[in-house]
Amino acid sequence: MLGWILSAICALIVSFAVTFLLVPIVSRFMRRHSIVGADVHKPDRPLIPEMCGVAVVLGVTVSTLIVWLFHTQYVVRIAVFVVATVVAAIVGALDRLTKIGPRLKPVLIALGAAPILILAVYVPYPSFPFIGGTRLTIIYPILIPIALAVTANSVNMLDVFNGSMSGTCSVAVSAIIICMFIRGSVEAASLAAGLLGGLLAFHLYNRHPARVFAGDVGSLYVGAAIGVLAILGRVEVATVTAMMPQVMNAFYGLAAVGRLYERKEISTRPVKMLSDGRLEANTDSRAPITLARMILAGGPLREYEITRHMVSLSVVSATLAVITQLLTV
Amino acid sequence: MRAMIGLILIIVFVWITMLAGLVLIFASLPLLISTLSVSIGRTLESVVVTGMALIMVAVWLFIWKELAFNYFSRSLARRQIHKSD
Repeated sequence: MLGWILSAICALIVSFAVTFLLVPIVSRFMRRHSIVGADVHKPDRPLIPEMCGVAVVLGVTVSTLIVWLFHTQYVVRIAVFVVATVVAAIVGALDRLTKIGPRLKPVLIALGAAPILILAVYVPYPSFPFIGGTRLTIIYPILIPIALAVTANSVNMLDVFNGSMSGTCSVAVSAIIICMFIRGSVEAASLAAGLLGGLLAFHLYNRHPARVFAGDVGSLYVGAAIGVLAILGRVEVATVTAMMPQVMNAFYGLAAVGRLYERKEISTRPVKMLSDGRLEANTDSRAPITLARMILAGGPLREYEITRHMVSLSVVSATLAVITQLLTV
Repeated sequence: MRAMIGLILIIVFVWITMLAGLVLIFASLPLLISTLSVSIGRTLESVVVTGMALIMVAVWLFIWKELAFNYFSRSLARRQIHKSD
């Protein structure tokens, strides 16, 4: 157990350091190649380097090498984690450069489930609270690609404000690590610690006022990584609970619009900016109902206040996730 | 603050109903399997059980959506009244 805790701490530190050092380099590269996007929630709409989530991808991938060095017998599971998550990152990069479209994107991300299924690193006997172990040998493999697509897109859809993705996911991943230690899935906990390190380092640059954007590369990668970790660590229900704000946001958006959509396709934005820089919920019934719009229903807020509210909701979900894991027999 | 309390209550409600739904599905499975497998065979039994679970999830999502959308509409309406005052 001590070895696993040590490898988790090392993975966290290495991932944090690599991501922290790489973000400025990636940011300069993106700016030089005009891969920038307007920060639409600021009055002067500054141009911010996009696709800087590449630094998180590299940081977390390097941290998996540390876990592998500590525990060489888990090479297959570590390789599966790397391949499945990098597929999502490549899909994100392709979408930024070539525009894949909202329908094809989840299908391509689901392809990341192929190594999990082929190498059979999943256990189709999930444990549920109050019920204990169950046998889902037919349904479980079918749900794996869906789970990856759902988690990746849910995280992607909450990457709308400075620090919202990195902040909420850091809290969710922290809870997932605790759940993994409770469950005894220590190797998955070490990989998750690497993800947490990358997210925390990235948050320092992405928090308000953001100096970098993760882009689809970063958000799809983080979402897919959470999905893969839930499967490897066998903490499926706890992960769904920890990701409640992301899932809520995605589900409300889909239910309101009635189909998969890209943010750019929505002509009536869910929030609008006031002259003093605060954001207000759009009262137009055609605007999609999102988590931000629900938070703003109570009154206008500054961008960083919305992010803070989202992180607070993540803390509530994270607490419920840990309780869920404790209730799981 | 009011909006946040409402959202926290929605999260807690969704969590409780999710756990209750899981218990309901898996508690009813043994009874369903013992009843169905005799008459329709194991393959059809899996299809029926999955179908029932999907219907339950769809109902749960519908309730979740209605609850959240109604809460949002009321919050927005309250805000509009405040503004016009």
